[in-house]
Amino acid sequence: MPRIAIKRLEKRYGDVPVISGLDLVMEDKEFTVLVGPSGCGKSTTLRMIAGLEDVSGGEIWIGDREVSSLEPKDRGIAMVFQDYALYPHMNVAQNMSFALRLARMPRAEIDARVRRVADMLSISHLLSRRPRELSGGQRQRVAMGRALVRDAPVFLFDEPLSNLDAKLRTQMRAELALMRQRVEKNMIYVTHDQVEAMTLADRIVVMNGGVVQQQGSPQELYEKPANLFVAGFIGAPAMNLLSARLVSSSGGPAASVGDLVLPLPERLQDRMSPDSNIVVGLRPSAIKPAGVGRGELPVNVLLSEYAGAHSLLIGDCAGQRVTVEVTSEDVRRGAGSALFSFDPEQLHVFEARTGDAF
Amino acid sequence: MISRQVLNRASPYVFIAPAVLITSIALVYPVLQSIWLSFHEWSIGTPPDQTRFVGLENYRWLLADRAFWTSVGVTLVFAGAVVLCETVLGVGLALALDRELRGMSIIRTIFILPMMVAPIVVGLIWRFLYNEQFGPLNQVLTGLGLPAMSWLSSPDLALVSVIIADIWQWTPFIFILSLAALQSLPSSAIEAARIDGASPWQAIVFIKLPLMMPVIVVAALLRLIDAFKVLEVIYILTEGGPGLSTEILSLHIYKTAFVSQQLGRASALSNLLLVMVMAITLALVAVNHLRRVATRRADAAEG
Repeated sequence: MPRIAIKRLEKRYGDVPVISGLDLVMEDKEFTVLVGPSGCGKSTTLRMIAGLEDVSGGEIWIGDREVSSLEPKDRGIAMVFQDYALYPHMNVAQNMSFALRLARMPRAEIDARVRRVADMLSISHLLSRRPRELSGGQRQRVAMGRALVRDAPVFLFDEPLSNLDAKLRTQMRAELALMRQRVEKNMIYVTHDQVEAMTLADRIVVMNGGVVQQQGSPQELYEKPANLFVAGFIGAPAMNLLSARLVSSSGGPAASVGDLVLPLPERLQDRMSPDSNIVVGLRPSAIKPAGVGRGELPVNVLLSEYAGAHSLLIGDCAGQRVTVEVTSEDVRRGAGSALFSFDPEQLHVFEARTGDAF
Repeated sequence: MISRQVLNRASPYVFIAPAVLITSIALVYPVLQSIWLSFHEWSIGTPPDQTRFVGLENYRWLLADRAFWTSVGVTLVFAGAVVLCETVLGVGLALALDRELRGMSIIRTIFILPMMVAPIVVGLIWRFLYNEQFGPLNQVLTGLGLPAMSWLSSPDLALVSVIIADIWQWTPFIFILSLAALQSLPSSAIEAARIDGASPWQAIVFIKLPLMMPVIVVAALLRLIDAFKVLEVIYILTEGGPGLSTEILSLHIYKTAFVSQQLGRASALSNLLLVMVMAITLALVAVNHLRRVATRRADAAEG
């Protein structure tokens, strides 16, 4: 099972650079998720790994082979497409066995493999159906099955769940995670949905504008976002980001947001020059009822969104919009000002000019 | 006062009435007239009241006529050959030219030009090309040291020459429709085939052609209907000769009506041709219907 290495990868459409100088390493048996907003180059990167898109510069290594000039079929990959890409004129069994038939595998072995994978995905009863006789979720499974029967060492997924409705998507996500435990392969998964990235990935690569913003485990990205983009992209509801100014106060470093002074983590004491512009990040779930944390946060609540066990309060803090996540029992009826608190150690602080975390 | 509801219900009929009227005058009436005429004997120039009812005599005479059967044979060979060649060439060209290269749109436009030339002009162009003494084709042949060919005056070669001219004109029809079909194929299915290990040839044979097939079948049937009715190009090129070697049915009808002046027999002939073309048309409708039924059943299964 190979490791995939991408070195100084470039892609241009005419004069328009889409990806410039991308370096990535995906370890063996690792589930890597490329995530980012649309147009960030994640799908293009995946399609270059697959060989469906020409490389404008740089190298792609799968195992010990440089594959960027090889045909897709010679790269040892299987792929699941966003629109499933099933062959409409073939039934499910023929769809799944197409690659094996092209490879002239003996009939008995083809049948055995198709049956095994179909059992695993619970689609055995659909084998003689045509794709258009299947529901979206079933098509999704067949697409997965077609990739799995090939037993290729590398698996590529191009937004495989984005055509499903919300409920089915959650369900298929869980099944994908289960399948992932049974099939040990190098998987690369592209999505724009950070929840999919967080729940599935061993490692997340956050991309924006053709550039890797940060890579690491879901936990690392959540707890230590390297810059403003990652901070705003990872985590739902999104992190509150408040423009502020660094000030010195008697009790250590602090940030002034309008009239408000927020204490900053002690660890940042010597690393910052006073009076610079910063952005302070605080996750909605890190905001607690008054008195719990050392920092105080007055919020003028404008709206509460009830979501079952939790509710989101959307309000205004020193002129900037903030979201607070509270248990629904704590929701007071109606709007109005309320005092919340936070632990300064949970604040994220970014340099305003570069967006980089301190 | 007519209620609004009645007016509403009547409005579709009001809208289709002009079309129905024109079709009745221009299509249904002549066909009925031709059926009526086919049971009569009538020569051009004689007053209509001198027509004589002869029952099925015209049909009986036709079915016993060697020239009729020769003409049927020529028509079948002509139609079969042109449709087969045009389909193979048209689909082949579409597959070959379905790529994004510089200047490809110009090449595609050039390929569909012959279809836009009026049939009479096509006939004249090819008559010049085939001319035994001055025609470019024979000049090329003699220039290469090969013997000149009697393109239009040899009974064996004339039908082939006529077929070539038709292929030149109508291959573009299949080409355009195939290209459109090809470009509307789901690109991801073809990409999936590449990843599954299909070579370009295998992708064509196992994915592209099967998916294009509904369009190809309809295009070929449309061409078949047209090929049964072709007249102008052959009329200009050979007038059906030498002998009867290129006298396809529509030309045979023309000659029976306006050269032999036997309108009753010509009408009977027309009706037989109409039956043949109708059979092909019904096949076309059946193909479409079956496909729609299959789609509907599939959609029902999905819903």
